[in-house]
Amino acid sequence: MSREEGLYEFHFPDIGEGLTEGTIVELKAAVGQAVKAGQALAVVETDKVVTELPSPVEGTVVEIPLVKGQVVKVGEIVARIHTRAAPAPSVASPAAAAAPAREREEHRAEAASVVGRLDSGSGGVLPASSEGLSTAARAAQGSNGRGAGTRGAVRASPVARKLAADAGIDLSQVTGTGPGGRILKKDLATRTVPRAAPGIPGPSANGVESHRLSTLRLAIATAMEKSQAIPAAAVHDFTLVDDLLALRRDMNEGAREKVGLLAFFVKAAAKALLEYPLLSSTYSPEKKEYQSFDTPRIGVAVDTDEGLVVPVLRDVAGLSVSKIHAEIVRLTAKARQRALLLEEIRGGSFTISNFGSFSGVYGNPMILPPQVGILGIGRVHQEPVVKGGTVVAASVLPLSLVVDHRLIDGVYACKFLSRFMELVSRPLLLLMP
Amino acid sequence: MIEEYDPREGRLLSLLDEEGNLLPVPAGMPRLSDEQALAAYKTMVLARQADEWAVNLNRQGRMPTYPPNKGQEANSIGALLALRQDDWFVPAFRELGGMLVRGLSLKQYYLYWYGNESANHMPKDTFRMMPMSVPVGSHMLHAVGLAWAERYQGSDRIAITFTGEGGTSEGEFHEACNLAGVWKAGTIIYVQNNYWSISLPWPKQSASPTVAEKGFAYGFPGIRVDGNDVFAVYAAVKLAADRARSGKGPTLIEGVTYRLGAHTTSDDPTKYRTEEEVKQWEPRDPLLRLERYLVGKKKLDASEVTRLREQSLACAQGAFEEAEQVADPHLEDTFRWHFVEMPDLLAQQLERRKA
Amino acid sequence: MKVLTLIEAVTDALRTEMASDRSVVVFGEDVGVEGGVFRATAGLQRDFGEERCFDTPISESGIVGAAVGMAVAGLKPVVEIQFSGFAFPAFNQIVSHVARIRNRTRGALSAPMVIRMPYGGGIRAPEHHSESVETFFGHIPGLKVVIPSTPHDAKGLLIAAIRDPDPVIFLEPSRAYRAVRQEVPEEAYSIRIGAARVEAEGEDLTLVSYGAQMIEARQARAALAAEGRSVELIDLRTIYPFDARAVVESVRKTGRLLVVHEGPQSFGVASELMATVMEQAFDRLEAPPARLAGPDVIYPMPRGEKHYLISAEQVMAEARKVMSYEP
Repeated sequence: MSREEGLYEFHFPDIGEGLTEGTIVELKAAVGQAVKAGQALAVVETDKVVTELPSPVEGTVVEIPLVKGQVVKVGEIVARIHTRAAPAPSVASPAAAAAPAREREEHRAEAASVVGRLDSGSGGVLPASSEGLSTAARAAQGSNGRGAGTRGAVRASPVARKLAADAGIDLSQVTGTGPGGRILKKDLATRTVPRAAPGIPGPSANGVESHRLSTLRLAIATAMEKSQAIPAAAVHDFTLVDDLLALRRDMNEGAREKVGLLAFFVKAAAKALLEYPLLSSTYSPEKKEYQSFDTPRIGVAVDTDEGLVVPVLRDVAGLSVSKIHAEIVRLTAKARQRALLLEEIRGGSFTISNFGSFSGVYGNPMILPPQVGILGIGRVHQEPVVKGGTVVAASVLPLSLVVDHRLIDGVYACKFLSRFMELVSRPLLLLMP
Repeated sequence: MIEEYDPREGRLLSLLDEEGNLLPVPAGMPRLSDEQALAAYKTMVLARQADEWAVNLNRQGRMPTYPPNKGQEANSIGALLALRQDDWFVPAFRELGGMLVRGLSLKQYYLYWYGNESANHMPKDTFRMMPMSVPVGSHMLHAVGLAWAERYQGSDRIAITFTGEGGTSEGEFHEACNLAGVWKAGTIIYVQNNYWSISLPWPKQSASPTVAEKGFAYGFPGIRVDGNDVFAVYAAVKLAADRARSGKGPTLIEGVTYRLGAHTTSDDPTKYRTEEEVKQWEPRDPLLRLERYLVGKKKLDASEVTRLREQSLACAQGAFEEAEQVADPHLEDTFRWHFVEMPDLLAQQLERRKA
Repeated sequence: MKVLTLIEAVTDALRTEMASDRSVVVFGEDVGVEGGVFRATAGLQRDFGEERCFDTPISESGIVGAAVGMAVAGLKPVVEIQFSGFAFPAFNQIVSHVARIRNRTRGALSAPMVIRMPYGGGIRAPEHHSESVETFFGHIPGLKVVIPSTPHDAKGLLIAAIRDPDPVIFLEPSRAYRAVRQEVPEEAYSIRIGAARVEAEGEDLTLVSYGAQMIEARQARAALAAEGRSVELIDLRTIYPFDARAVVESVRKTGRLLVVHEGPQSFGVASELMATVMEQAFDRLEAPPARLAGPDVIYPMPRGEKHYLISAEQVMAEARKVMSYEP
């Protein structure tokens, strides 16, 4: 083994059994002297032995900061030796010198035993204990005292915890019906998605306040982190919806309950998903399986002051647009009142995010795992478009479709989108069974 | 004197022949008095009847597996007679006679084979006896430790331990002999060479011509005695006890004897030995020759022989009935005796069983 | 008070008890003249005489078997098995007699003794010198099994073991023999066998270990504290009967358990603690109980030892995983 050129520092090793110091009896090498590996640098006396200290390396002695009669403690410098870049030492050297100096020091540091090497000190010096001593001898009650308090724990089954965490439900608001008031899975089914602000304020200092995330916010954050892991591909397109707008105007004229655009979009998505069902399946990357549903369960993103909630509309494909609208209204109200049931937010297979109702034309909404697709609907607005060779003003519906490319290929996504656009731009198709 | 019976020279100590004639006992050789011989005989009859009754009980379905002692009684009876009541006795499991000499009740003996640990509850100061040992060869070390401890505590109590010739194959026999020799422990290692270790005969158990000569390898003498001769057994053990008590160390005694019965009631010896062989040994029965001796000395007559036999059988029958009456261990007994103070872990397990 | 290493604390305990109780006798291979291959019995023969501290032939079964007889006769043998890997010849005596005699005689006879042995790896020893045997012994009914990790505990627990009316297997972590130092009281004192020790309190994770592994556990706990993670560190100390209550109480507070030990994983101490926590603290769990244990492999020879031992970094990584577990 070759050594690099450099300055080697030889520290006084523990040459046996917990030695702490030794006395220099004689120096055997001088500054400027060339020494071979294994050559004695000094003779040292300990309370067990009188022994030579051989140099672990070959080189030139640069410094020996010791004198005869001096007491040297384990770890202190015995010599500094300048080593040359050199090939492996000659066979005359003792085998020990070929090993890296550090290892050899450790070898020296081993306490005597017939086998094995006991390292000294790697476990440190521990604080004293008074355990077992009589009360009179006991100075300070030490490590055995137990601090006060268990954390205020909510009793809930692990499965209930998981569901609550998924749904952003605060368990402390839930009444448990299990033994001893334990919260069971079924107690969550009748539970809502409550909670205060996204954060729980902490102590404030110098205008800076820290807030711990609320349960809902935490659930959203966790879902978004998981979403990040999805290999998502986005496609953006637009379609013209003047006909849809006209249809809606007609429908709503005189109607008590005015149907919103979103209901049409949901209906269109549901129909298109029936034709492209892969987009409304759920995928498990761990199991490498996906689950398909006989009918899409479309979640609609609802903004509440605590954060995004996505109630799920079931059996949409069979509902009329006005019924879909009514359901959207109902769920939105419940969401804002924090009165959604667990089953109303679980089990979605596709999501529509109508972010355009505020602002935003195109975007890249994030897929909610384990779903594989999300359709972002941008702001409906007027734009000049080319129709039949001439430029006209038309109502544009911008669409952003993001899919999980592990399951959905671009072509499939585009075909779905194409069908969706067809349905919303030729709304009579929507109303057909 | 033990040295004169060097097994390496083919010597065997024998004092009472098969006809019941006592050979001239050399001067200095310990000798059973006729009163002691009679007591030995009574114990032997009781042991024999109890043993045969136990086999009978097993066939009746009332006694689980039982290892008969039949034919070997003189070994442990002669030995225990030669020791003090306060010497340690570390048996294997074919020393019923010795246990009776030591004062163990038949009821308690039966209770062990019947299957209740309370049978092993033998207070130290009353019995100075270890319970029977099942793992072959593992108990002889205890006798070495016991003898060492007695000497350490300043007493002259010694220890005797028994094993079959099969037990001498186990490593722990070697370790016991080695430690006994190195420590010069006051231990008598008595090997009942009954020829059969279940189905393995002595010549296949060891290439050594005798067990007794093995002692010399450990630095102490071995002596071979006729194990069916209670006089010879008594003499050898007495000599060994004197050696041990005076600090001269251990002795290895080989009692040459024969297992007239099966290894246990679950064993069928016809599978591995001949009826002829057994028949050859029947006339050498220790009971028979002692009986002849005592009758010859007018210490016994035929009617007493019969009476003793009947009395012993009745005693055995009664003892077993008492053993059967002893209550089975309670649930708590299964847990209670492992530690002086039951740890929580065990207490919780017990609670669980109770529910 | 004096600063002692763990092995010095062992010697101190032996010396203390031998001085006050003549029935205590110490024997084993090389314990007398040489004072033990690790010097655990150094000076005892010189100070108490050959009758009380002596060398035996190479005869593990003999050592323990003779000790049975001595203990029955009223002495208190404290024997040494030179390395845990050589305890196996004595196993028959331990299982068939030492552990059984009190129960099988319904208390009439008993064999209280201490069987000491260095155990565990990390000392670059030849084959068979690094075995973890605590699970074997812990599984035998009728035995107590104790493993100290600090000098203070080594002295107190060994004194307790010597005074215990039941047989105790006293396993000494060889890697920690000289690696750990601590001030130890000079007087005699004993620590209750069966009590774990909460070395540091915490809120987010219960970290349980014992023996030499406590060295890494301590390092991990301190490093995690610097990251702002609060870990409760428990030194189990007694393998049987183990302090279920302490562990369960802690996990009910923290909601998370990580057990770390050098010995092989399957059927090891960690599985026992995890099962106990599942039985008694299921409701309070924030994460499944976890373990980090040696692999189910033969302990490697020195060149491969690095693949076996668990480092502080590994403990930390596992702890972080448990603390960030999401359902």
